[in-house]
Amino acid sequence: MTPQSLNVIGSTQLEVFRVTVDEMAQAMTVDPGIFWANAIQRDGPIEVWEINGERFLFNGNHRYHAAMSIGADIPTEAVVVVDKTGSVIPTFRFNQMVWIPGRK
Amino acid sequence: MTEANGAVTRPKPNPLDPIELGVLTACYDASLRRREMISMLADAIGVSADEVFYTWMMRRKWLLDHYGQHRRLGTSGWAYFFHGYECDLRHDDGRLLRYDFGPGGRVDTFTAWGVLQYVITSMLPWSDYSDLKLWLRGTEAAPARFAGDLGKMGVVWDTLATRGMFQPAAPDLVALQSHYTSVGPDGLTYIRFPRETPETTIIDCAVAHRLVLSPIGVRILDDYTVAQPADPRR
Repeated sequence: MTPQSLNVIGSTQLEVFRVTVDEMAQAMTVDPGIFWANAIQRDGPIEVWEINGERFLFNGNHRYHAAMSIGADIPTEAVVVVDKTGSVIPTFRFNQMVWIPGRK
Repeated sequence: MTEANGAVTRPKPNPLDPIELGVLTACYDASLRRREMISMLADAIGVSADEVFYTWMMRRKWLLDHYGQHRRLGTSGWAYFFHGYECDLRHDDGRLLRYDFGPGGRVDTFTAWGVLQYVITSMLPWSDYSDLKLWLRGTEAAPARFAGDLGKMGVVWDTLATRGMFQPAAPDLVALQSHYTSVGPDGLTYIRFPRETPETTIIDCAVAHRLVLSPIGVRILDDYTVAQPADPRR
């Protein structure tokens, strides 16, 4: 599925690291199957929190942005959506997020 | 099992090969390091050691406002970086200790990737793991903390798991989350707990599958320690 079709509007983390996103995008291009298998084993699935009807990335920010940057699909088995209605965790819209030049 | 003289003996499991034993030892070793280091991390964010995980998960605004998602720990050479359900401690010399937190914020839980990063980056004053590093290192040039080959680790990991060296931290919570998990018509996995479920339970369920050493794994390490003149876990 496309990253856009997840209907995510932001994240529970403020910062995104540019080099990490670029390196993931590169790895995704070379062999998406290996990339996603390794990524899930390392850091778990992309976890989306649904808070009061809006969706935010909780885990897998860099993978999501990497897929966005190259127009790649995200395997459905790599995504979990958790109902977190009422959560008070801070959330940041994508246009509020801070891109940092280095690596995570 | 009982011997002729009446003494009770335990059946000896098949020995592990050196690589398998090395990885199992590293699982234990990394847990010790996490226990040693948790106070420093807790002090750095102004909470008690058993509150670190829940602070990141449930008091995030307070943590971000006062200390940040990542920060150096004074002049110790260490820095922390919270992400997902984890926290990395990184030293200037390259060492990396990853907290794959477990239910209740316990720190003896581990993942294959966390142990691999620990082995690949470990150096004095911690164990060097020279032979294990050589065996687990990948072929691609990468920063040290990403230099481990997860495929090679996976082969060893699967063997250890098959032989019962690991167990989930909280099987009851794994089952509870599974009960409230379904696949939607869009193919995505959804987790929806009842509204009255405490936040801590939901968080604990998310990390309940993480592994700890099983009694068999502990026993193997104990037996190995007894058989060796010097403790390789120190």
